[in-house]
Amino acid sequence: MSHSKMIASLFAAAVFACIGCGPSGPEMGHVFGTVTYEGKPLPTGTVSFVPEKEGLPMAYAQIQADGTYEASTKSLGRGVPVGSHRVMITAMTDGGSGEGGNLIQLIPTRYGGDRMSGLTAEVQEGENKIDFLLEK
Amino acid sequence: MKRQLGFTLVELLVVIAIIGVLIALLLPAVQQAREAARRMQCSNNLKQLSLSFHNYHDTYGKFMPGGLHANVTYPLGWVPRLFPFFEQGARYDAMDALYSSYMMNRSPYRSHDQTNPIFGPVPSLSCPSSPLGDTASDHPITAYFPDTQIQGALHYRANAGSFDVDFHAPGDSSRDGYVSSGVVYPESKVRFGDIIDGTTNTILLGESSSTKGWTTSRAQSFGGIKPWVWGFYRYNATDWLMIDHKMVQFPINYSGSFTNNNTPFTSYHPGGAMFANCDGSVVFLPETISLDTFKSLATRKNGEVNSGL
Repeated sequence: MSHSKMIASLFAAAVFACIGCGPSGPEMGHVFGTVTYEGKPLPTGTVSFVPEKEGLPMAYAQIQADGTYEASTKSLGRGVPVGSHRVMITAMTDGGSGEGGNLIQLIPTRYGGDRMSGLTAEVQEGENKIDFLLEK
Repeated sequence: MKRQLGFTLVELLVVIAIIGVLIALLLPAVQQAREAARRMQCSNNLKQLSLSFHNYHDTYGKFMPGGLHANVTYPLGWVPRLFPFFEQGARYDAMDALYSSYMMNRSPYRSHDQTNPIFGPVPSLSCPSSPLGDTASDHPITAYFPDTQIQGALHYRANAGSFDVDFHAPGDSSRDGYVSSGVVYPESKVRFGDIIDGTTNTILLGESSSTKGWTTSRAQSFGGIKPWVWGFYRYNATDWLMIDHKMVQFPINYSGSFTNNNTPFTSYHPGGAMFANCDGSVVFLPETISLDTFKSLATRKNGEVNSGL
């Protein structure tokens, strides 16, 4: 084999090695909305989306002071994998300087369980406005 | 064909390029070697503790309760009860010599006596990967408690069970409920015979050694990573504070909002945390594990089938 051929094949191998695979992963939908408790916006807390389908990543959202949220995943950035999700919401506030710091729950404990909360979300591709209305 | 002598420049460059690629592959692995060693030490800690649980069970016929009706507030939990079984018997004896029936009558957190010989780091209770270190302050400074004390850190929490199974709602809705589907929970008396999901499929201890992403109030509360001198608190028969044992409600390395009894299991090991099962085996569970699977590993008698992790 001549040198030029060898260099050419090495170059080709290097190019193939660099190309690799394109972006892959589950289809994502943009999910946002408002969380209210007894009609009033919930000022803090976390919304977690637990996918029904195995193998998809969970998505989380920090609830803002005005009750709005926008969900994202740790591994894939903004958005929630498309499909059905069970939703759990936890919210607590700092109750001042009691012993060991004191945390007060703002919503009933059951909303913190993905199976106990009774909340679900159906995420489509594109924009999804999903509001959660929590009651006592 | 003419026989060549020596190497051409191109051949030399190719060899150098190949060596370069191989080194580039190797270097990240070298960076990981120290973390791998620390993780091994963490896994060894959990192994020692879970074997100590076995020896405790051999002696008393059951695992220790996560909480019981003690004479003091903020009593000691499972850790000091396990001391004699992982060669910390001297520490246990020192406690009893200091105050009679120390376990039931004295809260090291409440009674800040400087001469207390039980303070300081305890071997096997902290994960070497955690920058939080092997000691921790027993509480943040408040108006009520101006004195804090440095105590031995506790990076391993016992498993109280799954949030979805046998949940006991609190009498006072501002408090957390507790669960009794695990191994160590308030007033538990779990024997090996009660773990009918199989000791291999039931978590005994889990790692909680990282406060990454937590707010200050969360990290300093009862849900924070407290030293071992914090065991539990009994408000009344229905309301408990589980400090050295936790229920599984959130995924591993969850950094969202939580309260006290549901501190997530966390670690600084990349991608997951270490767990000890009831049979004494130690596993690394990835943070991507499905929440259902994780919760089913936390129950001792719910009959779930776990098909791989």
